[in-house]
Amino acid sequence: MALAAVLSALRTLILDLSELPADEPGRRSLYTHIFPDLSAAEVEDLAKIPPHRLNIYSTSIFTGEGKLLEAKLPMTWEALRKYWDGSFHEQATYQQVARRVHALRPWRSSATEDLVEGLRAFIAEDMPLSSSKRDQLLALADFELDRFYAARLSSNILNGQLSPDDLTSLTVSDLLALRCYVPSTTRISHFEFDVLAARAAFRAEKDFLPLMPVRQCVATSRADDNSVFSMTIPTPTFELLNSVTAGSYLTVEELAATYLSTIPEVRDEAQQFQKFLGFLITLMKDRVLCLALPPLSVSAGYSSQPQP
Amino acid sequence: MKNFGLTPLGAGAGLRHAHFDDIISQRPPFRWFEIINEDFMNFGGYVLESLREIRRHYQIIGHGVCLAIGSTDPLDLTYLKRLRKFLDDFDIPWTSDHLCFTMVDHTNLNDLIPLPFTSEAATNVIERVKIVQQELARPFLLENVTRYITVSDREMSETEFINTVLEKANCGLLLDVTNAYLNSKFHGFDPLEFVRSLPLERVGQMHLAGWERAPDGSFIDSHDAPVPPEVWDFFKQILPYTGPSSVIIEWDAQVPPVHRLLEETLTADAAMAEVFSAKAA
Repeated sequence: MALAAVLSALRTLILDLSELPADEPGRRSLYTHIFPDLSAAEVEDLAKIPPHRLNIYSTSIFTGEGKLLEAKLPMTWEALRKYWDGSFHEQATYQQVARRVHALRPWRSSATEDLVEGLRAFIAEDMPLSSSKRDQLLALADFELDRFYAARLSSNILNGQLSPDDLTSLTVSDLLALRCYVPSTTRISHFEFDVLAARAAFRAEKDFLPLMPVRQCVATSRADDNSVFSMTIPTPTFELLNSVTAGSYLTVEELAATYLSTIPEVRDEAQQFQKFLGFLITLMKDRVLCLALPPLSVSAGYSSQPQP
Repeated sequence: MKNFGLTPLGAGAGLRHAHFDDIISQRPPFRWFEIINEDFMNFGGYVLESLREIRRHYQIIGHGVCLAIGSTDPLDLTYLKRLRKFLDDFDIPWTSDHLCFTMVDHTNLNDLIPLPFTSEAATNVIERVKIVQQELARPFLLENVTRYITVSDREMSETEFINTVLEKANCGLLLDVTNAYLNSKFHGFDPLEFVRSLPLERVGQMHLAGWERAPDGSFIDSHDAPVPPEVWDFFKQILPYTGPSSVIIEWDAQVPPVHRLLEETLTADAAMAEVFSAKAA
């Protein structure tokens, strides 16, 4: 019990209190008041610790968390640094933002997933934002979470998948009979903002805020070389791919029918086929989906949800 | 028993993402790599596939930052089971973590916070290390951490605390040479005396790293620079007491090109050769 109280008090001193009395008697008095579970000797121990030494840990922790969030959700983090307390700021420091996030959404485990999901919850529920700004920040967070999970999830793709080159030797009817699977590394989401344009601007080091309002269906996937890709897909295709649950599949014929419904202006069958084939090959190359002959070439029990 | 019964691997380096491609394509002559377990064990994709490729050519040793061995929160048995599977999958012969706490009140502090040097804290660690060793089924080492603060030394000193934990838990010591040196500066003690007070037969591995000099002249254990000359000197002073071991260069921030990292490991190897050849002569 005593040890738990001491460690808990240290956590409070490092994470929650930014201003501590400079003198030892002042700290002793404060700690006696705010840490009633500590013995007099334990209070004495903690009071001896100079605040600037505790601050080394505070700085390291909040800077480290900020850098980790920036690495995983770079656009979201950048936007957050501007809007972190609800009003516009030119680049709040990592520590300011991370301290605020940590105060409201403490990192509850050692898993990075919990840290990034905590940031999303902070944006969704804790930030005093207009609904427009909140929606934009959430769109960025959700888009970057898709990329985060696509990059790190275990892949369920096994050997034996067809490559785009394999398609050339197939008849049209053979092609249409193939099965499409959505790998565990693919994330399919829709947004009310143009997140892909924002990403392009961000990568070009241009202003990416505010986001342009437009409905956008995005497939984010991890290719065989481990690159993560995000591409827009037509809404009907989005809905079809989203309906493919773990362990199930659809046929290329179903995919083709859905896709062709989105290009009614193309009436020539040969042109329709070429357009669809180009779309299919892009989906295959980026590993948004993979194609296989029956029987199943994908491991059982795969899921689009994060692995524990 | 020397080196805690582990095979001395000589000098290696901490494996960092920035070097994956160069290591895979160039296969530089590192003897071995230490990995941060948590940087790999929850991943698929590029990270894990890179590690698989690197493991085909290099010995890999584990090192953790998330065990929170000194915490009063319950040990995360799910984490331990995942770690065991990961270590088994990559045929990793031993692993280590830090003698500190990183979690309390179910909050991740994301830093290595020192423990009070009390019998209660020692007993807590000992009981938890026994569970860790049982779960991981391989040698386990604890690392002495950089310590900007003394939480409590009323009951015992740091070396007494470390000795008690290692002896009663029967685990090894990952001696961080830089941490010992920096702590001697922070707290004003003789670093060699500190090291000589440790159970040196339990030293199974060592760390060397550089640091950042803060504007106020103090030191931050930042792992973002070459190993400083005074640490190389200190390393040579302690080698006769530890004997041959497995040593890595930790370089985590402002990571240099892979050839520069290799130079540091060669310097460590040269230091060991110098000390042990002189001793043999």
